[in-house]
Amino acid sequence: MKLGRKSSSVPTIEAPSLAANLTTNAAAFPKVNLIPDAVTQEGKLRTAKFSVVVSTALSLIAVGGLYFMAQGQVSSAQDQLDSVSARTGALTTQLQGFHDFQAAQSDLSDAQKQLDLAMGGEVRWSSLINDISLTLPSGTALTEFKGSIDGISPTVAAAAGSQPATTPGSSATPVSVLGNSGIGLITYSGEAANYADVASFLDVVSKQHTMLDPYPNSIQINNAATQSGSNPALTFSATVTINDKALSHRFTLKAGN
Amino acid sequence: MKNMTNVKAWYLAAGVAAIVVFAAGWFLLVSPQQNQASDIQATVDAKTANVQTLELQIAKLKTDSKNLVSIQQQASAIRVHLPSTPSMPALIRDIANQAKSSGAVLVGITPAQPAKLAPIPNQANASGAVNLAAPGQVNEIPLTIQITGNYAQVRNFLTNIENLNRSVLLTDIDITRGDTSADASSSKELKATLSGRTFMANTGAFADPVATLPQPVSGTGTSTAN
Repeated sequence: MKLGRKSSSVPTIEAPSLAANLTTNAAAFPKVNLIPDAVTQEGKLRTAKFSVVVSTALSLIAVGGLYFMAQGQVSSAQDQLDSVSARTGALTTQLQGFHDFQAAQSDLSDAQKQLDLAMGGEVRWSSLINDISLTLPSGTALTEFKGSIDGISPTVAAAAGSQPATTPGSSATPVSVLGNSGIGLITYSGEAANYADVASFLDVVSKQHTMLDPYPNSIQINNAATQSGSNPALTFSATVTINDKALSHRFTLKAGN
Repeated sequence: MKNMTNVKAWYLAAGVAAIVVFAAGWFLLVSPQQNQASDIQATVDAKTANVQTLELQIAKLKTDSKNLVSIQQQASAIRVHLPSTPSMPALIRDIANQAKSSGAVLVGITPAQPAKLAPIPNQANASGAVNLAAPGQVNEIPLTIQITGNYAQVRNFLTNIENLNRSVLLTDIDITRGDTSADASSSKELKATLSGRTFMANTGAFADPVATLPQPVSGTGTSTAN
């Protein structure tokens, strides 16, 4: 600091050192608490009593806040519910517009099930007869073709599989001579020139994919023909089981119907 | 000293009061509201799922309903296969016409009384009384047809019967050579006895007849009659 003279003999006081001096001087004063203990205690008691009010009030504020938040959630959920209910109502009304179509669908579904029940077990006899006539070996002729099927729809058979017949002998399931179950039986009666022709006939039948376990019942010399000297010399009969490949499936319910 | 104890007691009371007020508020006010919100939200979730199902159902119906005419035609075609009445005059005409067109001679038609169709033949239905008019029920009319003709005529007749609009299920077939005598013309003549059934079906919801089948008898069959 310059005071007009060039001499620098006057001491300068730096700001930090001044503050330190003041602090040192203040600490040097003695502290005396002149407030009576009773008053201090009374103040502390008052503060403590006030804390009850404050804590209770804070709790109430917290509870109130949480309550309003919860009420907001209720209100929001109720709004959503109203919205969804309105949408459900609109869709239900829209759905009722398809009543005729749903009735038609239901009617078709019921009719298909009825048709499956009635005709699901159909075998086309014309095809079976045609197959055998086309493959009949030369030297053989049929005099009788006797066939029967159970007529049970595969759908019904599958559903009733776990419900065996209650009356002995009432089961309609045909069984071949080898114990394989089928859907029907055919008995052939015929005439043949010789035993080899009968064997050929059985071979032909066994090759048909709709037939199962053909078996000869009898092969006899045809006495009347032998006496007259005419062919055929033998009569025979054979039984074969019809398997489920013979089903026409024209009326069977398709999967998913 | 006593004042110090009082101060501590008041602070303790303040804490207890805060806890009590908060707990009471929580259980009496906040928690019921939250439960209500939760319940409503659960209802909203369930209804939202229902809405989604309905939307899918309606979308599918919108697409499928374009086939309404086709569906009605299919149902009508099946009703021709399975009429709701015996319609015997029409059936007799049909069979006679098919015999004529195949060249076979129709020797006879023997229908039996209509009866409720048993899903498994020879197995009695669980229900005792037979009501042919029950909605959705399928009834059968047993039928025997006798024809004569040569092989081609018999085969053609069978084909025609199989292709009738009215469903006829042939279950038993017996074809025999007409005569074994030396007469060549008569030996080509076949006699065919065709047994089977035709059907009639009532409209209404289909009642699965398999469900009415008698349940298997358990045990060894010892009598319990006194």
